[in-house]
Amino acid sequence: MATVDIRGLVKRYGTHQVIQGVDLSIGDGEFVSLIGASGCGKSTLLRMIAGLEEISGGTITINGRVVNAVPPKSRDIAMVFQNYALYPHLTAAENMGFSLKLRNVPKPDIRKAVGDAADMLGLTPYLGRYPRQLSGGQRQRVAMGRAIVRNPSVFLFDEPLSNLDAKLRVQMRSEIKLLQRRLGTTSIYVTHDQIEAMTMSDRIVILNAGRVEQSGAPLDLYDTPANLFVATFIGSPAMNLIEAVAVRDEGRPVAVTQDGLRFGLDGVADIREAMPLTLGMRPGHFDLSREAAVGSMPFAIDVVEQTGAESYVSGTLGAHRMMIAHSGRFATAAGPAFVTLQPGGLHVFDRTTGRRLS
Amino acid sequence: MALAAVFVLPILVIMGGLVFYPLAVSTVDSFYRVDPMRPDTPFVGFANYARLVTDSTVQASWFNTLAYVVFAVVLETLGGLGAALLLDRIRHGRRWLLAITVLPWCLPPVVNAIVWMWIFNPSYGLLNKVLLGLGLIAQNKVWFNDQATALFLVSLVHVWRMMPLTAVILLAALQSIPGELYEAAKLDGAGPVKSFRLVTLPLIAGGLAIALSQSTVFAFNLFDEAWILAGSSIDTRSVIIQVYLTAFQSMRLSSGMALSILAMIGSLAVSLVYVLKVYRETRYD
Repeated sequence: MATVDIRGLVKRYGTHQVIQGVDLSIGDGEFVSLIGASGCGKSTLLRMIAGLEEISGGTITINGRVVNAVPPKSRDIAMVFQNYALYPHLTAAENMGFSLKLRNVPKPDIRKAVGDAADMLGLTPYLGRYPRQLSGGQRQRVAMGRAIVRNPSVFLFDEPLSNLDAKLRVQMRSEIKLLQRRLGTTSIYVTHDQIEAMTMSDRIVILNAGRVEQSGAPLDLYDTPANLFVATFIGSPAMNLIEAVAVRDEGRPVAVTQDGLRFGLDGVADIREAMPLTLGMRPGHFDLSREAAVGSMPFAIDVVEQTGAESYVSGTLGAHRMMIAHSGRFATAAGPAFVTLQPGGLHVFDRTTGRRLS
Repeated sequence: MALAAVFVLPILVIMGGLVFYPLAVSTVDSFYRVDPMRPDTPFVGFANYARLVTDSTVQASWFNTLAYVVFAVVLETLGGLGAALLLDRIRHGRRWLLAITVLPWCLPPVVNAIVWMWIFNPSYGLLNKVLLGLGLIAQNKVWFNDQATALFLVSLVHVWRMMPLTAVILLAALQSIPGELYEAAKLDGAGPVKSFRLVTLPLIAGGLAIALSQSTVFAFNLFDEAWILAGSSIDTRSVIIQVYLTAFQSMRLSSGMALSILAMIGSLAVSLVYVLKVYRETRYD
């Protein structure tokens, strides 16, 4: 059981800085996902925690001990690699027991530890097989087993599910989550898949260009994104954005778009007259109908994508292309319709800084 | 069927014509007395083989060849592995270093041996010059006067030429190991030595067996180096030189064939041990 504390962490390759001063505190037993686009530094950050990358600046503290100069094997961590990194010349059991063998743990103890982990992961019938004789999902489990057997303070996962097919990924997602809850081990999970991050984590850390954009519980990030980057990164389909300017109308603040759409800004703090804004609206926060209603806006549908449970309706609201997620089926194809934004469905951002105004 | 036969035919013709037919003819002839100086070619059974076993000159050549094999295999494998490990670590300019490394291997064996003959020359050779300069010897030495030294120096010239091949084979094997495995080993607690012994070595076993086999076979067939450096000297005479002398100098053709067959069996037997004991197929998929 352990806490991980990261202070002012910096990673440079020559003059190129890939991690630009990251601060992050991870509580005991917490499951934290690091998420961001390719090249945002999330894997580098994880590898720095593991000790596979040198630290250019700042500190990493695991369980109260600064580990900057501690070799990987003494950091009391275990890592699950994207390509599993199983030793091809060793059986599943030997792979899982490798770290214990290196520590000269007596053979019966290794056998017991491997057997327990295999039980937990449903690997018992496959212990004698070599990695090449195992399916992708089984290899993934062996890699997990190798981490579990060591009984580390911290699990590090580097996109462990990205090599599995979609169906297996969904299954392993909940298995990993259950396992982590059962073992109560602090876990740091790198992924580029926001669904994985949303469904598995206690907390998500969104990285962009080597910086933390926002850190918080999955639904908090969804409901109150701190800035435009987070707003567009979390949520699928992505949030609709339109540009507007703040004006006063009969003493009340209103956002007006160039084509004349108006959105009330009551309750939004820090609004100044003529302030450039970006308005965000999640696709799922609209009511779509064929008839006009009070407060509804005309919406010209051009494409309807049916997924069964939901319909993704694309069209134009004024001069803006929008995507609306309609729960259930929206049978009609192209044509005129009306949308109403649900209460609380408007996210307001300062267009200059990208920050949320609330 | 016909198409399959067309594809198989070239290899059958080449291997049959250049390997299996001569091998069969030699094997059969080794049981006859084939000697242009004497009439008829009577069947003699194992007489040729029996004479080879008791002939002291042949025994000496076997001893020499054995020494070549031991020196060559040990030095080429250790040196080649060392070179491969170094080359594997180099990130920039590896292509150029690799090109330089394989240069001795590209030289014709005769040219290589002549270069070294000059180096070993007792009166104007570089080796004596350097050792004298360093004060390690008091006067010029005739290196090939002592059998042990002579065998070692002939082996050295052979190793100089053949080590690059071992290095290239092992480098290829090393490069096929994914870097992640070393990272996993590091996290599992393996230092450089254990990582080499428990991860690298088992994963290059296939390449190692091939490298060992080729070292052995080429050392068994050593001819040029010993012939150029010391001619037919009994101190350095290899089995293949003995085959040449028996068959084409003494004109006892069938006796030479018998000896060449024994040499072939010898090198095959040793290679078989590597393949059975060292070779391990490892797939990464």
